[in-house]
Amino acid sequence: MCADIPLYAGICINSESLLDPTFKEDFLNVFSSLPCDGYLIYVDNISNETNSTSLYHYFNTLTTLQLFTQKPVIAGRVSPGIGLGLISAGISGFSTGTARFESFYEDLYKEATDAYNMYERYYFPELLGTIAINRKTPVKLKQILDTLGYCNCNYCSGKSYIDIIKAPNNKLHFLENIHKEIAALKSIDKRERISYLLRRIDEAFANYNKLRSIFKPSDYSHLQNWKSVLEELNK
Amino acid sequence: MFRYEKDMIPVLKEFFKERFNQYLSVEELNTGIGIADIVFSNKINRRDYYFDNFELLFHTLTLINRKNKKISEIDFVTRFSKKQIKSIIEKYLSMELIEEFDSEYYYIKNKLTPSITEFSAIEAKLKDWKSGLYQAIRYKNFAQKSFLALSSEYIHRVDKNLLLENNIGLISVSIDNTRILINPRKDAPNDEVAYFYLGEKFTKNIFIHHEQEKYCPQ
Repeated sequence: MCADIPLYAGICINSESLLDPTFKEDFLNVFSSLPCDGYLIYVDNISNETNSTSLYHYFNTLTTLQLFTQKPVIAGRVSPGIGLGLISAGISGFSTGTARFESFYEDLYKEATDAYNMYERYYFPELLGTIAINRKTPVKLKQILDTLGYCNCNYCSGKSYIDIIKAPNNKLHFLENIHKEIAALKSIDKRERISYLLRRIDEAFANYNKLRSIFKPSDYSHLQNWKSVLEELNK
Repeated sequence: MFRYEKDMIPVLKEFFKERFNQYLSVEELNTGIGIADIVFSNKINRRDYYFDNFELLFHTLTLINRKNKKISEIDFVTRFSKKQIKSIIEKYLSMELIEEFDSEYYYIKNKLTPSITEFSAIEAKLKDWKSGLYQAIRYKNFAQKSFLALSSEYIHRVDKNLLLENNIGLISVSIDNTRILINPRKDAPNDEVAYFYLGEKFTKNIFIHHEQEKYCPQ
């Protein structure tokens, strides 16, 4: 009976180590030979702040592992935009959410205290990501929604911004929208997925530019990193 | 010259008091879209009650400051919890925002007015004027005037056209010669609820700081 349950190898590595070609090669050789059914890979620390070189090697390692082994690779705890990028590049899935910490880092699990979180995250498909909103003063949310338009999903439709940001509305809004995003991406021919996401990144960039009263350019510089990585992978 | 940004704050306070008669100020005001280094106002409108809950204020504004002056039970139950309704109605009555019309309806007597007349928000920077400009732009969501204050020795670096395009003021700060180089037009804040709410928060800070009044918590 146990044999019917897929066995996944859980792997945790540091993103910087993937910059070393020898380590990367060893990593792929060792883990591709494991008698497992798939891989769940957590990399410390892949986030919106990760530079394009580290991000490229991260994408490249995960896609190569899946290509060589023909086994599903799932990226653990990444931001929705990076997750969509990984799917467009060919990996099977990713884990994400609207929790306080969007990315994985080892020390997160060493923190003993559960500090009070003043923020809720809200997913904006137009910005390809979640934005932290101060739950007691959701001024930022209103400004963004007034500019980009209000969401008409089941959990936002007909609600004021005050109610939209409250959990579980914001979580359910995220689940509905990210499900739509993945379904849309998977309905596209595999060869066209990266081009589709590159267009989405351009749209997100244009939308951030409309929000100059909220965001400064460094707040969305990650889009440029994503773009250069995906363009490189699309060659 | 200044060693830290915080050293500029007392100079700015003195300057605003003399130049604009704005002697009421709060430092490090968390606005929900950034922490303003200093916010000024020249007058607080006296009330019996101030709101320190954004959601409560939002619903109060949508209810009291609307065109339809008749308020029914449904207006309350769609906005507030059963627990809240009784005390909310009492507060509205005591503030003379509503009056009883008959057993089923209330009538709006007065609109809720902001607790402060107007805001000037300041982002103070020693030399990083660009980062200060982006922050100052955010403060236009709640303030009538928003300024970038920069240490005078770095003032030549600023692209003044960029500030003029965005209607952001510029203050050159030095110990003995603080000057306004760009005085922005007074604009209505982009977000009325934010303006009201931060006015309430500002008032609370002033009252607590001066210990002149008893602030009414929720």
